[in-house]
Amino acid sequence: MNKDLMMAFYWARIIKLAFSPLSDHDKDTWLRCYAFSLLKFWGIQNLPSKLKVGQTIKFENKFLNITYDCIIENYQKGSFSISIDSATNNTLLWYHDIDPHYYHPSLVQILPAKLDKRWDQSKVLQEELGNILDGLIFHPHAHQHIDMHIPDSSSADSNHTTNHDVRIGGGITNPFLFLFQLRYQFCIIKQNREEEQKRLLNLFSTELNMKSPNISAGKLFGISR
Amino acid sequence: MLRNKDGINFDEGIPLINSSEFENLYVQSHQEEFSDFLTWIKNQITPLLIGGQIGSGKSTFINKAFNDLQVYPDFVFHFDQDVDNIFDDNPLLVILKEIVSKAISAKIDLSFSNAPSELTKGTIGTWEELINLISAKDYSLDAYYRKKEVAIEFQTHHDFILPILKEIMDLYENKINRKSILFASGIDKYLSTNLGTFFLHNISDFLSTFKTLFEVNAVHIFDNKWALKSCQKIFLTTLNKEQIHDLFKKRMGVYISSITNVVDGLTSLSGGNPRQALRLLTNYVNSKTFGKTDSMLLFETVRKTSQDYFSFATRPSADLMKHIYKEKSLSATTFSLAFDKDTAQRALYENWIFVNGRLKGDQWAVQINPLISYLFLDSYEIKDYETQLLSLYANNQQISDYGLTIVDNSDLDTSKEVKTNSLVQMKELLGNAVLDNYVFNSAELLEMISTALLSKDRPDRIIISYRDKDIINPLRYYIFAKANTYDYQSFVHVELTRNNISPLGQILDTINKNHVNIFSFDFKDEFDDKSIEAIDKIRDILLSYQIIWWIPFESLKKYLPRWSQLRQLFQIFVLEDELLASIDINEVENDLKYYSQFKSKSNARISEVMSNLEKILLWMKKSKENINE
Repeated sequence: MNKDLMMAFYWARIIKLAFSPLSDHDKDTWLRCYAFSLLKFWGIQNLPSKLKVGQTIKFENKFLNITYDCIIENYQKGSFSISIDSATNNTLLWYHDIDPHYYHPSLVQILPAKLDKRWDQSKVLQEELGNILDGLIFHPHAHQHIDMHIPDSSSADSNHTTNHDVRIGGGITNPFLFLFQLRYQFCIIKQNREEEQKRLLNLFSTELNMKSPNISAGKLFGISR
Repeated sequence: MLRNKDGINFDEGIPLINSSEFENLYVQSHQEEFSDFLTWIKNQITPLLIGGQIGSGKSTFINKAFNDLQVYPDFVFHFDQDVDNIFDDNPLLVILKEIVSKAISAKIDLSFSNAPSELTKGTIGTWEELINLISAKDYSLDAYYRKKEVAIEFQTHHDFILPILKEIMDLYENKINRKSILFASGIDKYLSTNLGTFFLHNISDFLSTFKTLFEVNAVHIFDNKWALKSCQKIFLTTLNKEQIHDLFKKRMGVYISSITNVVDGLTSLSGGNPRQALRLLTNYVNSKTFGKTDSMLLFETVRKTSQDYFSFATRPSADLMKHIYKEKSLSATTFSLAFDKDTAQRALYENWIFVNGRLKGDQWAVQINPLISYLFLDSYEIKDYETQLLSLYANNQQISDYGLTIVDNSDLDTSKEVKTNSLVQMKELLGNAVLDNYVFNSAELLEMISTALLSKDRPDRIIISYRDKDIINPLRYYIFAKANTYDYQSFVHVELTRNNISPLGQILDTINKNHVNIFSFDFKDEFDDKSIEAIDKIRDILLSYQIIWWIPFESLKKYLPRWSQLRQLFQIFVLEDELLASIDINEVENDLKYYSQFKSKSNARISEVMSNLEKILLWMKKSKENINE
């Protein structure tokens, strides 16, 4: 087994651990924790007020004039519409649909169930986990930039998040993962982004090494109450 | 207080306290005054008055200096938080408690006086027993009467007690080998006329013999009748435009770009008062929904903020306001005229006007609070920011503001008529915000109320005023169900009634006895003026709680003019009778169905949501049946 295969294995494993809530209750808890975590992570004081559990979920960041509506049916199917408010009217940016009826290669089906024991898995994990999380969340391989109410890279100093730092991942087939990377990408507080990267790196490193069967929503979103 | 580093921090009314808050949120202002204050803390021994209008940043200014020097007062007297002062108008007990407690902690020998025993005929043996009795949090009726009896005895014999307290202070200062610093806080919550003769003379006289810092309102700075009239004074006037910009920048953090278009508008409307600036900002953001233009939002912001601060308040005389508009100044003596308590002094105390700085001699630069100046001006006199508001109005009405531009008296063409009509309309619209007709649309209002209570990290305080009392229970169920959307929040609901205990007593008793996230009080009965005025003094006690007050509309009209302090802390919502019609019965049923899937999980949050949803559903079904019958 080569290193790329091992990385793909962990990629799929992370999606299964953190972004695949099975029961309706788990799905509700995941979304509730998601919404709740935005308050601190985005550094805002108004929680998304239009969360209607079990129906369409709307997340709004008034300070970026961004809103996204999601319908998540299960961890394989969902649809998102992302809009930006241009002050006088709503402008729909795009829809992101995940439709399982159409073919997409599934890593879970392709990859072996277990890793080759001859590999020093923990060593590879430590070296490559950052790259895996970059690809999944922080800096998706294929992404779009959008123009928001923040400085562009030419006018901002190095302490600010710029429009170029916001990368909306493309081709993501798991709706929970898509939602999760939107949460990260729409956070424009640089310090919170950096801390979140460290926190998730530690979290996944620990949980993968412990071979945990899943990661609770509370842990995933760093909500300790 | 949960702070968002580099993010949004709107928590108005809460003074900054620690180094991290100062580093991120403090706005440099009043530098000369600040330097004087530092010098006073370090080197001086005479009393000092620090004064400013409501929301001028007095507490933050004081906290910053102590924090910078890492020197703190030895004695702090909270005249606005100690129930002995609030309930029984007994400031002597406040200072006695603080001085004797600190002396006991410092192991000062108090055996030179047997005052506790002498004044209670042996019922209380020692100073320690006295402190235990008057500081105990025992809310039984028996304890209340015992404490009251002792308090009256001490106050009656204040001539006997004050020299003893002076002696204790001398012993304390000998022990620490320096002058101690005393801090008399909360006097700013009282108009001079309400402070009481005993405080104005005996207590002020006593405290002024020490190095005491008095935190007072602007009206006390100008008061030439009380014991402290000759003390050194520091007056915090309004902030300038750059400082208000800086405040917005710090409070908006990385999101400052999102208000670029309205920063100047909000700044000029703030009049340089930092808390008013923050309330405007908060209301602007709360009103912000997709699809509304900046000018529409700004117009809504003015209406909501005017309502929060000035609805039902007694207006100062139009003559005074016109004089200020014309002269832009007032003489200091105007604020202390004996017959003037309802005009200049009240205008200053209630922020109808702002003092911008000292001119010459006793002349002060004064402006009408820009938020409400339209109430006092004729159309011909409106300039400056009124021009801006007019333009907002025009945009709000989706008409061009061409022709609405302010013209002077020499302009006699037809645009004048258009302008005048529009001005009248604008003044009516905005005027309604301070009268009684201002309401949001139902769905918007429900959402704003619910949003305010969604997080226990954010202590919002709201007053919900209603005309139809039947609306309260179902609405409460709905709001509490919403408040549990994300996180379990416990609550207590209490109906305040006319009985042996004042409404203030009932509120404090509830807060002390219950450890819950949301306190809900229904001012069911109508209370007399004195009981209502007493509640105004506890603003700072309520700072850290999530609170809803339900007040009948007719009572609110009487209460608000007496709550100059409290209304700085509360957002006010006036309910339409038809409000509940905006709740969709199908939506409630769907939510209930959804939550019922998880019932077996026996989760406190879900049980709370379901219980409230079931109650509102039952109420809605019954109402429907009644209509059908």
